[in-house]
Amino acid sequence: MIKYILSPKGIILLAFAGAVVAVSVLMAWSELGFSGTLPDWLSDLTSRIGLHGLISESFNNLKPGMGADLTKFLESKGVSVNPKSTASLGDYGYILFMGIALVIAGIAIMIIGKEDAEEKTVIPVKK
Amino acid sequence: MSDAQKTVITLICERAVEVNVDGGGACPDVPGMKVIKFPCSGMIQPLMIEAALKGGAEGVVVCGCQIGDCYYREGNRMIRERLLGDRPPTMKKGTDRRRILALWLARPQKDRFISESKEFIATLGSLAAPEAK
Amino acid sequence: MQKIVDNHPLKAFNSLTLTLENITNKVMTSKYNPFYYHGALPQYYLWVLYLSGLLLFAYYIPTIDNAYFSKNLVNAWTSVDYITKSLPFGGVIRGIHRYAGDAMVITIFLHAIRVWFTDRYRQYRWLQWVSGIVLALFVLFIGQTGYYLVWDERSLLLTRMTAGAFEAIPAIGPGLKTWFLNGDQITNLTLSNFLFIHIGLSFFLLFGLWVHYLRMTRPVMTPPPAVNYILTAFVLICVFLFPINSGQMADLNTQPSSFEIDWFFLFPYALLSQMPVGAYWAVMVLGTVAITALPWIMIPKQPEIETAEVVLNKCTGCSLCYKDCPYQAIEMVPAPAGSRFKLLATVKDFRCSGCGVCVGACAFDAIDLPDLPDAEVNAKIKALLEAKG
Ligand code: HEM
Ligand code: SF4
Ligand code: SF4
Repeated sequence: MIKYILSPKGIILLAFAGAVVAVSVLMAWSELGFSGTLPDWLSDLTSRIGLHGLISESFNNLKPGMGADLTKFLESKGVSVNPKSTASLGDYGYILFMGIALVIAGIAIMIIGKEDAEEKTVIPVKK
Repeated sequence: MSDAQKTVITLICERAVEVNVDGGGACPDVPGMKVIKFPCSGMIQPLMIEAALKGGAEGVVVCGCQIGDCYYREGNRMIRERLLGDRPPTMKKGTDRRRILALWLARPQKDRFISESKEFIATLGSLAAPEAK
Repeated sequence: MQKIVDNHPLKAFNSLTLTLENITNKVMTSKYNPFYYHGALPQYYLWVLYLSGLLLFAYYIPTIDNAYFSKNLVNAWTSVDYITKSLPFGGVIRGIHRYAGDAMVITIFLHAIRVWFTDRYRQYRWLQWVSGIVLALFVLFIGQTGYYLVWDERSLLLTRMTAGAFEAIPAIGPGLKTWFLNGDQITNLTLSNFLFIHIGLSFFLLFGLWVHYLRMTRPVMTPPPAVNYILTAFVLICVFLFPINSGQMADLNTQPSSFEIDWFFLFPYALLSQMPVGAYWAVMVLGTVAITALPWIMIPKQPEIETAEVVLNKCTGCSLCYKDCPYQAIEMVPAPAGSRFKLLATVKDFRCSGCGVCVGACAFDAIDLPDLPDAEVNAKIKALLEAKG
């Protein structure tokens, strides 16, 4: 059992289980706008291991308008995605960049991976 | 066998690249080539290839559709893995693997088939004669 | 022994497909040719839909008035509005859910057309064809319920049109309508029913896919990562180019008269608005029946399949053929008493395609296609070699 947990498979599984629990808790917390204070023992623990700033800061920053800077920048340049759209322009900007990045990554992988596609198989000589 | 009458046997799927065959099983486009068609390249047994080589064929061309496009889903993948020794049954150790060429060509790729097999036959000529078995 | 059906009415389309795929092969090689992952493409979009749907589900409120809250009006429409405007990346996720749905319909269509054009839909494949049609119908209906959920004016009109169309069906019509609206008229309960149908049927798709894959060994369900990237990028770029918005909030006291149509999901409503309800149902039902019947009616006289046969006294029960058969047509049964071996291969004729892959898998010459036994192949090889070159 312990051997299994410490194997790579076990560690991945554990990490996955941890992530599932964390996301479940975070979803409820997000309903509260990631506000409130951590219980004493937890903030104690997190500050002792130096994670406190990371946790409270990163989650408190996860608020509407993550793309605000980009929105401002784009708007100042007179760009508009679609006059009908009410959503944050910055979000759309991010998603466009992500799309373009994925296309580039996809094409790059294809160019590299193309080499082992084959129309002809030469069987290696065995000794 | 006399040198002049060396034959290359092609074992090919009837849905793969279109190869002309005359009544005697010869392919007029590639001198010295004899063709046997199968419903799927996945039906070809390593034993058949060995039988052809043992029976005096100078080489064997195995041909199926493009990998990924088998009409029966997986046939060409199967024979490819068998040839590479990754899926049983595989070929015997002593089989001369230099005399086997596998091509995965779709119906319209006739020119590619002809040029590849001609080139293959040319390289066969430079190999030492198969040891008598 | 020629198995290719020469008089197949779609022969020209088959050549067209092959020519087209020859070009895509030249560009991206067989390894990344999207046509070679035709079934995996809609499957990939299904995962995208589950994930983006989960995120929307966390914030969606299935009511038409503020049944849960008293201060402000909180209903389906305002919750969607909140998702779109206020949540980080909410609008984007909503867009992804929408366009991944459209993309799934497109890829399902391509998949169905390809198996049809390349003659891979008949005989032993009938179960895949029929279950595919059922899947496609469910995907359509799921997408339509998705449009009801937004609860803008379009949703209201669609709901009324659907309820009317259900009601017009003889005998079961009124019952269907009551089921659909979760009551006699549109209430808060209606939207919770829509949400239930939308999500419940989405998971039912998994069952349908299980049936779809039942007779295929190792179905190709995942495209290679590079193709996945491009599929995802396609959706993201659509999200950017055509940002989505809800229309006006639905108002039960008005009757909206027109709406923007999503041709991938809502085309039946375009039909419905053009013809009487009776004719609409006739077209839909007959159309579906006709498409479902294609495997049987397309080719008048289908050549019978020469199924594989096991040579009983040669089979060693090694299971290699069972592992390799692409259509799950071989079953390993206990060998008869007195045999030296434990198992014996048996062929389920109704699943067998006559492909001969099992022949290639057998190292003991113990399984044969009756019209081309391996002994005959070997004799032919010998004859060809002996004939003067
Ligand atoms: C939710 C939508 C669908 C998904 C995710 C899906 C997925 C798949 C997959 C993964 C395969 C296996 C391909 C292979 O490995 O060879 C397949 C095969 C097949 N599908 Fe679908 N499919 C869908 C809808 C349909 C529809 C609408 C039809 C036709 C009306 C259809 C007809 C077929 C047929 C006939 C096969 C067998 C092809 C063969 O034996 O080579 N499918 N499908
Ligand atoms: S591969 Fe041949 S020997 Fe093995 S189980 Fe199948 S028929 Fe029998
Ligand atoms: S011929 Fe053999 S491998 Fe092909 S479907 Fe029939 S039993 Fe399966």
